[in-house]
Amino acid sequence: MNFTDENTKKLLILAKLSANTQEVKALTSSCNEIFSYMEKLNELDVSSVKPMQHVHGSSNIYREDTPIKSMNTDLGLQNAPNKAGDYISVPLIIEE
Amino acid sequence: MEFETVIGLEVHVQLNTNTKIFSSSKTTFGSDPNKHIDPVTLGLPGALPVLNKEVINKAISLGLATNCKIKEHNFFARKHYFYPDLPKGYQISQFEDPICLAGNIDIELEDGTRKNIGITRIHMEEDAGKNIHDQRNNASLVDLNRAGVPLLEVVSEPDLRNTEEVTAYLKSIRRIVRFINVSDGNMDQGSLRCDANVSIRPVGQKEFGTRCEIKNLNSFKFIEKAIHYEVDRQKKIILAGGTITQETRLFNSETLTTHSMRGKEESADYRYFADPDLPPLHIDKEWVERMRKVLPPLPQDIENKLVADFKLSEYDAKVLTAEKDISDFFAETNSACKNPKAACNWITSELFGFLNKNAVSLEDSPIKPKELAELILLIDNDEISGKMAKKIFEQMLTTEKTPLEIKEEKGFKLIKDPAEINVFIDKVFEANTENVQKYLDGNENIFKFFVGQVLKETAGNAKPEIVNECILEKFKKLKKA
Amino acid sequence: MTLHTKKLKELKELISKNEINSTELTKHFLDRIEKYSDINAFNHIDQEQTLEQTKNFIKDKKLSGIPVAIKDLVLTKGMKTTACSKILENFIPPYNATAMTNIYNEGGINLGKTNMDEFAMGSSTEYSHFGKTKNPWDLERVPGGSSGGSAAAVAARVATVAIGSDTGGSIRQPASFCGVVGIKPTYGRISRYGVVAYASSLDQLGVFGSSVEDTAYFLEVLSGKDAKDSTSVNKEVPNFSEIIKQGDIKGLRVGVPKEYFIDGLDLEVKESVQNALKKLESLGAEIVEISLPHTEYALATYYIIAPAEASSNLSRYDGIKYGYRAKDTKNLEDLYSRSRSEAFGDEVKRRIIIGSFVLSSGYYDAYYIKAQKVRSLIAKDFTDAFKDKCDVIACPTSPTTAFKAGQKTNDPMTMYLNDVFTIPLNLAGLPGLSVPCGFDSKGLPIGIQILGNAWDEGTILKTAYQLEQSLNLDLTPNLIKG
Repeated sequence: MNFTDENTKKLLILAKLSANTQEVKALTSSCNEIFSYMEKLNELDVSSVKPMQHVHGSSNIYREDTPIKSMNTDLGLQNAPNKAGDYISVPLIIEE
Repeated sequence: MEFETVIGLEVHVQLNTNTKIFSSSKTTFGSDPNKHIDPVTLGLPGALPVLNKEVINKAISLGLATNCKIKEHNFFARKHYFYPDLPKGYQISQFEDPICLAGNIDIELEDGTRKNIGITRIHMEEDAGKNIHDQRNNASLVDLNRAGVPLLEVVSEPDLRNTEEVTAYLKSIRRIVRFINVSDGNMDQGSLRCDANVSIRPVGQKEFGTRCEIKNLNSFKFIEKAIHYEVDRQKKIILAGGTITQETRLFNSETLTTHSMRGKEESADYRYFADPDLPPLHIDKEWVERMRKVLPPLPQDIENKLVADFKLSEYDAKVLTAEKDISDFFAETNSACKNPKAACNWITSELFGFLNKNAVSLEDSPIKPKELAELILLIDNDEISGKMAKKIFEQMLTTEKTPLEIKEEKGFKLIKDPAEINVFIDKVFEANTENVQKYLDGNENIFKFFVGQVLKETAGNAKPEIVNECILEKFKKLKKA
Repeated sequence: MTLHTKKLKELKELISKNEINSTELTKHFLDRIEKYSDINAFNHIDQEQTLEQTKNFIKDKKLSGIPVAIKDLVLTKGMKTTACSKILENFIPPYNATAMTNIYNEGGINLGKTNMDEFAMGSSTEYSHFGKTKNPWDLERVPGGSSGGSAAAVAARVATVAIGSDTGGSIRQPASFCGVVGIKPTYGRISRYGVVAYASSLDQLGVFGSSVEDTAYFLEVLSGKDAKDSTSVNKEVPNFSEIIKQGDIKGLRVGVPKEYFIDGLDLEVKESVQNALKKLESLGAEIVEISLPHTEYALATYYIIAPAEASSNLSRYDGIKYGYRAKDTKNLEDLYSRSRSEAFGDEVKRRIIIGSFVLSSGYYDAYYIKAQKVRSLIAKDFTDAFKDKCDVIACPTSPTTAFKAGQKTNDPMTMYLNDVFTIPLNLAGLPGLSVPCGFDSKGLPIGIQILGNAWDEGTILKTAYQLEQSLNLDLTPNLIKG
């Protein structure tokens, strides 16, 4: 597939990343090279193969509904860039 | 052109488990901000989800209660988008292979007719935190207490046709989730939330029109208004020759309108894939059967039974099954006194009358089922009259005394001895000789007058059937004479 | 003072007998780290915290009083953990990874956090926000990556043993470049709870040691089922350090996959590996040629799956709850994209873009699902081989020895090709290690991989031990001699 700057720009938005024109070109170029290499996989017929979405076939791993003591609020939020009391503060979200 | 409205609902049911779906922090509502947190809730580096078994149990229960098929092979998927209340930048949900499929529930409309509404799927997912918008300080405040609370998303088929059906459906769902104890089903507190998919089509057309998803509907009133507005909006567009754009719209509870969230749509490529941190879930037949065995009776079934077995009116049956605690209260009372009609009446008029007037919950009722049953038994065993019972009931509301104790205290006794009653009858006959003659001359209607008078003389404390019999006897004797 | 040449069990013995104390021992290593600071093996040292631990450890346990080095993606409560990214440069975790808890429960001391490629994405430790790590065997060369700091630390004997992580070879390849032993256990053997996630279905913590025995011993400490990691598996943890010494490898069938002896393989590396195979034969092993037919597809498969999972795992770095937040942002959108763009390195951004692409609607089936299917085939190659053809598999670790810094950073594909021999194992979720087997003409170490069936770390460690004892190589870099 021919991976273009358009592709790169859409993905940057999706991934919440920004890049200048040069950076976009560089990304497009690397991606093109990498995706060309990935074409290799088309040599294989995998129509009857199941995807390996989980390793080792474990299943049914769960726990009881028993509460444990929560992490102290100050400790949990100690790395928050901006707080307002016990809330994490971010720029005002305008949507409604 | 006549249009038909087509509505499908996505209802989010917040589960009443003790802990979150993927971590062991509490799910308690209304706590101080960021109190129920842990590495998973905060989306800290290195945090990993561990599934809460009780969530699966409740999902199966809701599936069974809505006639769904329970899927054997399940897995969780990551749904990606960025938002401050979504700490990991993705929500763990189920996309393909949801736990329940192809169910249905009955709803009842105001005119008494029933309609069956299809349920496409039910799946498990985690809730996001909350953002509070602080306009004055130009900031939004993030509270992650709710992040990770378990949700079941119930998606209906587009079988609803108007807001009455929508309300009936929501009320049905709400009643079910409360009865089977999977959720508080409380719209005010957000434990029951709904998004509506609304479209219109010309009457008679088979194909569905383009639908729009309406979000931010947090009360029955707003749901109605939003749907009305949206249907109008779509009608106007089509009648003007335009087409409906498929989009998500936000309901504004102040202007009572919906507006497009189109910006969000463009970046809504959720990039679903199976969550590698959570092994798949296999739910075998035995597990489903275990849950089926412990499933409480469903409200609709109880309602039907009350009408069929106990011959209560449909209206009364509905009142008694509006909430699980009411249903339980009735069942306990009836089980002790074996008089469903009496139990129903005393609960729905006398007791509810008091509770409503004084804003007391059924849970806090001063009269418990056992005591009410005792009172009913006193009436049914001819120990007291209806009037006496009412007086005793009043006392029971304010004291801890049993009905029997109050009866003794007040010296209440049902007058049922014919000898006693005859004394009253004689008194009444003496005072109304003209009417006695009227009856003897063939005016049978005047019999009622005598019954009424005797009951009045006994201050309503005589058993009416015996009064009737005794008066009849008296007249018979007089006729013979 | 040759404390740094002693094995773990010896050190444990000396401490329990009070012949040395933990504070002395740990200071010895801290001094050495300082002495060889040019290597830049460590990203973060907190002397105060470390020395405090030497006074408070649990006695009479496996690691009592012994300091160990920790790759900086393992969360250490109260001590910075950065994954060598600017986005976490000031992050102080409020909890410990289970691996750390295991270490502390066994009396171990946290010596410090080692340097790595940012978010474990790299094969040379040249992509760290905190500068490159140098290979102790030649300071102009890379130590390999992404666990280059841990490998170099052990190679220079400035640490006893070290934790690393391996998603596509990030333990085995640096082990080979640095002349140390490095093992990646079976997926699910060591808990991933508290480990900064790169690719969730591929990541595993593992161990670097200057000897197979030390490596095996430290592996015992880290291993075990963890209720907090749903992908960790409930398997009994054998006494690896004892198993390696039990018996011999007579009759052991060593499978040699023909697909690993390809054109890009450096001739000296090939020769060294073949010599090692001859050695194994002389010890009684049977060398069997096998085929792992889907090997050539492993790299493409990996570079679809790993970035996909990485793009997802790195979504949480949004500048909101922790980590770097850009200054003076106009609105939320601006906060997101500037924080992430200013603080992620180029390689990380590249992989996020690749990953977002292969998961995006319209491409998901053609790329991600296809890759997961090919992954099944690659995994099956291994299980078929282990079913009836061989007991372990031996092959080169890396196509070359340590390359020069800056040599491969211009072109991502060139860098990715380093991992051709290590990646297939991660896709299969099986255990594998690299053990030194010789040197090239420049004196640079060469490693041979021994790969095993699921949960069979014991056999691969034993094979490596026999080889190690037999080869008896001098694995002390000139830099630290004398």
